[in-house]
Amino acid sequence: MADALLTVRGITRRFGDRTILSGVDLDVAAGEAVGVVGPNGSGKSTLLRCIVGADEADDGEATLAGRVLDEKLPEIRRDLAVVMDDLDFFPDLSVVEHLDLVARAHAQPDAEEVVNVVIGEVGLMEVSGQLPSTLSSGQRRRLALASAFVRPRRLLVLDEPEARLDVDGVAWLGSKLLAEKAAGRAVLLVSHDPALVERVCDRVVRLGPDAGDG
Amino acid sequence: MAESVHEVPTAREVRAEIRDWRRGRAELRWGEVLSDGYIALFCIVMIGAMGGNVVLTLRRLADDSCTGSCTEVRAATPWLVALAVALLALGLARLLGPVFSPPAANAWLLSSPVDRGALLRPGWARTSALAVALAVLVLLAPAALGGFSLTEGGVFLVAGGATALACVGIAALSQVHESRVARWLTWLVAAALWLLLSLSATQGAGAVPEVSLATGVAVAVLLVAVAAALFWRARAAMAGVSRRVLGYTAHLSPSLSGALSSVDLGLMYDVLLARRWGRGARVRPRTGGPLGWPALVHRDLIRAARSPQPFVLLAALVLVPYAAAEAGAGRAVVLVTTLLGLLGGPAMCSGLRVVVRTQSLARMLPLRRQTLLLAHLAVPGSALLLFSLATIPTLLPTHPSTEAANLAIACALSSVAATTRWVTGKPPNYAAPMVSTPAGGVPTGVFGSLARGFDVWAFTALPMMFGTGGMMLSSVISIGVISYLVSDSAA
Repeated sequence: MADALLTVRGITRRFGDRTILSGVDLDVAAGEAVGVVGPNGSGKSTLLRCIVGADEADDGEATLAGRVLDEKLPEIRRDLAVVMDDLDFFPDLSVVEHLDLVARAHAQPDAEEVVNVVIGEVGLMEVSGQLPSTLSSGQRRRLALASAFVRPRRLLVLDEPEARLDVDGVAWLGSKLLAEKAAGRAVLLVSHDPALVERVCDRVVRLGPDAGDG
Repeated sequence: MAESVHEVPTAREVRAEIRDWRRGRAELRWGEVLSDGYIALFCIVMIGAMGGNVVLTLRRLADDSCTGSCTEVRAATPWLVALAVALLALGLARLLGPVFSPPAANAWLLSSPVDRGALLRPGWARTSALAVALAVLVLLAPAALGGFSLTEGGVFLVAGGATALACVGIAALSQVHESRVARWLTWLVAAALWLLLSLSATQGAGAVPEVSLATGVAVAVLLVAVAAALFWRARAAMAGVSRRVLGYTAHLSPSLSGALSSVDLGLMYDVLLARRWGRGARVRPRTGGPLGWPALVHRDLIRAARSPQPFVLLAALVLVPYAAAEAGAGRAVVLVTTLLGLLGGPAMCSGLRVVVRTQSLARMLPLRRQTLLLAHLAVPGSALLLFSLATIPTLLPTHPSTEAANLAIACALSSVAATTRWVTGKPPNYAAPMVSTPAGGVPTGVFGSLARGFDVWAFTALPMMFGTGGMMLSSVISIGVISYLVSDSAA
């Protein structure tokens, strides 16, 4: 396997007496997609939250390109595109303004062009002037995904990205993630959709009762 | 088979049944209810006595020391406050309904064939009574400070209470009929308030006409008649209100009540912000602009252009320090200027508030917390600086021109620091150990959250009254507070 871009070693997370994650190890190389699967409550989202810094692991650490993954560092956030379940937006910025802001904050030189392409791909062109509160839950999910694709990135961390998407949306997502791999980016994907995982992921990590690599 | 015909229950029967369920789940004993009532009454009497004592002392001081233009401003004060109360009554009534039903009632009861008007009328009566009571309570102080006699004060309070009721009545009728009358009236009252404030700030308060007791009584009687007519018309119109109209505000009151119960003013701000932008479906998108952190400043400028009300309000408030200076506030004008900065500042910081509250948004942007927050402070900070600079003439009577300019900058820093403290406040932590109180376990930060922002205001504004050294100290504290609040360690 090529050198790992993301390295996770010994991540442990306990809630009271209950250990959710116990010494989880994980590597994701550039151009590789790794799926994390398991039943509800097995710690998939917790693992991602610990990796991206939304939660604090009791033990273990993650590194991105050899640098300890501290999400407070701008250098890390520059390389790491995250779409978790906590979909939050500026209430007073429209769909296209959100994407334009993210692209420009990342100093994306051809921001306008990239935003136009992505907004067309995710099917939000017709609602580009609408405020987030007026979008359906599926459209909000598309907007969150689009925000990850309008900016420079080396690693994509996605928590159930297929949730709330329609059939066409899931098909587009699969193609997009394959294109991400082909472009040499790493993908870490938590999903409950076996077809999506099988289509996109090179390896699968199982959490819960049947834990292990597959 | 013959279809059985059921009679629709009356609203009174439905309310009686709900009351019966609630009583069946009551957890308090009568002794506890009486004890709580006694404590509440005792608190009201004690706080009322303290407030009354303060007002009467201030009145004695004003009687002894107020001369010249101070007397004119003092005479205009009751009218200023009365207009402000009318504006507040209209604003709050339009925000909260004023005709509203809880979401559960909206979903379960208003869809039934029970008389809708009869279900809503008790709530409307309570809202009206509350509006009158609060207006009278707020107007007590200006009535006493304005130099009214007991009879004049009584007439003023009756007129003020009736005006508040009339405003709420107009708001209710506008809501039921979905008209814009209340909106236009709000602008009209705001313009009148601004005009009167201008007169007070420009030595023209003497232009406020003196009203004889007979005229006052006649106006009060007229206002009472108008308010009563509006109350009854709104009451009669309740049956025609649609669930769609009630739905606009159904969730707002419970959300605000929840935020108030945890004394989380920041959450109230979030609720109101979400409501403000939840109503507009589409905006004219504006893209482009600089790259990197200036993109955030550019977005704040777009926000200001899209929703300029907070900036217009701040600009209008610039008259208040002038009125205070006219009334002889002297060096204490800086307290007024900085307090207005704190009161007007948070409304301009919606972008800052969202990134502070929402970690996932902050994670999307490749910026340090310090850069992220400072970028979002640029536009409101500039507005507060301009506001403070516009008050330089109010400082000139007590300070040389260079010192007055420096003092205005120190005022701006104080306002920015206090606003940042307010906007970046964290919600109460219910996971941490709580303080035991008669009301149950209370998170340690709850009571402090009420003083959030005002604490920094006091620490930074008070030193400015004590010369150049105090001004320097204030600026150092303000810069220190801002630096800490935007740093990683405050996250």
